[in-house]
Amino acid sequence: MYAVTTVRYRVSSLFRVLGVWAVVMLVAFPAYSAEIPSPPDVGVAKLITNFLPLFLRGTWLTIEISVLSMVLATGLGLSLALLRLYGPWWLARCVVGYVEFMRGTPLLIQLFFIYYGLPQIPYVGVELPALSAAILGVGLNYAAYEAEIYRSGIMAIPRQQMEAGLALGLSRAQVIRLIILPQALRLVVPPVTNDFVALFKDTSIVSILAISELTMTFRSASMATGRYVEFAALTALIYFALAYPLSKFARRLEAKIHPHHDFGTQPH
Amino acid sequence: MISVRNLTKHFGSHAVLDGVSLEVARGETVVLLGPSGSGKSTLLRCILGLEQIDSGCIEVDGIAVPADLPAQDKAQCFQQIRLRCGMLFQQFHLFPHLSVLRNLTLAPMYVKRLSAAEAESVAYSLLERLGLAKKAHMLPGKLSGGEQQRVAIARALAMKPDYLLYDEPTSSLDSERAQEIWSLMGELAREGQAQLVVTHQRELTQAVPCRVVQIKDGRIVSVDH
Repeated sequence: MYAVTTVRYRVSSLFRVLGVWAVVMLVAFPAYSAEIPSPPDVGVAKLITNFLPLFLRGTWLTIEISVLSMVLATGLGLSLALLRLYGPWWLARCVVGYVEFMRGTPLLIQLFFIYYGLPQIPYVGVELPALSAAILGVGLNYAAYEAEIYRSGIMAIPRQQMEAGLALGLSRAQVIRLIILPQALRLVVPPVTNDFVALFKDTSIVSILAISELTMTFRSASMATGRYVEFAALTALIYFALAYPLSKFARRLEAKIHPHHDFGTQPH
Repeated sequence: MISVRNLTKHFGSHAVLDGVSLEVARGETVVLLGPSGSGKSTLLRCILGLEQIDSGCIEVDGIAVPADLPAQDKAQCFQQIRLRCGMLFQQFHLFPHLSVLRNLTLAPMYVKRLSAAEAESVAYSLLERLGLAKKAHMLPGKLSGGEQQRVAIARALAMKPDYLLYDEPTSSLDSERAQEIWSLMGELAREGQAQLVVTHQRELTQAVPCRVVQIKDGRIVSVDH
């Protein structure tokens, strides 16, 4: 149930943020326009056409970072969830620590640490290319959130499924793989998709590592030309055009999964 | 033979099982009759190792599991015991994401290493026998309660267990569906399938040829021979 509301919340908040942003731009911009270098006298269409290839390249990089971080986040997240639920107690504790730490500290700081901090640690420090640091940072951060989603999905499967499987002679690992996970993964597809939307937007933060993804492209293009309004609109439009269908998709999945959620074997 | 000797089990300070001894011979059907909360379901769960015991011993066909056996040996013994015993639950606990057929073939394929074709031929003959052949490719959620319990019985039988353990098998069914299950259990009893049935439904003892053992407050109170 909570996933449905999350989708609604995310989509509506997206609209709200866009709306507020547009109003702020319209009201505030004329006031500050004097301090910003006056834009070269080019029409909007021409301006956009000139910069479009740059923005498309940025978009592609954003997609690449998003997809790779998400692959890392889901893979690691699932492993963390399994360790927390079925691993030895001390490993489970470590996982709890990891999850709480990653969720309790800002992604920005984590990125700085991985990119600038890691190389300074004696003996073990490694210097990562900016792109790898970005993917690693976002992936490690989101893995903590994914782990919690997977954990809630697994815990939603009645305990008796495990017992029924064990009673048939299957091992614990077999029950997890053949019975628990297939059911749990179905349940978590909508929240995981939602998280992917959030991650996709959060990748704008990696522009801080001077990676020329979409947000960085916006910053450099608008700084070079002074045309903040046009480029902000274009950038927001690109983010929105990619994020919104995904949100809608998550909502459709949610609607598709829920009618069948009544598996008919559970008393509740 | 299933042999439970002097079994005790506490939940906190409450003794759920208080020195229970019980035997089920091969080919025999035993009904353990008692009110809810009398510890009878716990006993079944203990036999399969789904619940830890505090003292006493469980033995199935010579595989003895005393309460103080080291955990690793215990796990191995219970694995062997589970291969000999099939279990039925009040709420059936079919695997909702798998078709009826896959519910039946899963354990034979992964535990007994049968090929898909072998497992399916066993499954189909069981479904045929229980009048469920047409439902083979449906999901369990689409079936009625009575059908689900018959699928669960077929799923257990597919492993060719020496003993079938039933935990309140017909308590969540209406009386007509319950009758169907009872007549199936009677049929199995006459064929010499050993069964241990835990229930509070006295009617069951009339519908299925059996030996009745009564349990109350974690103790065996009477045994009919």
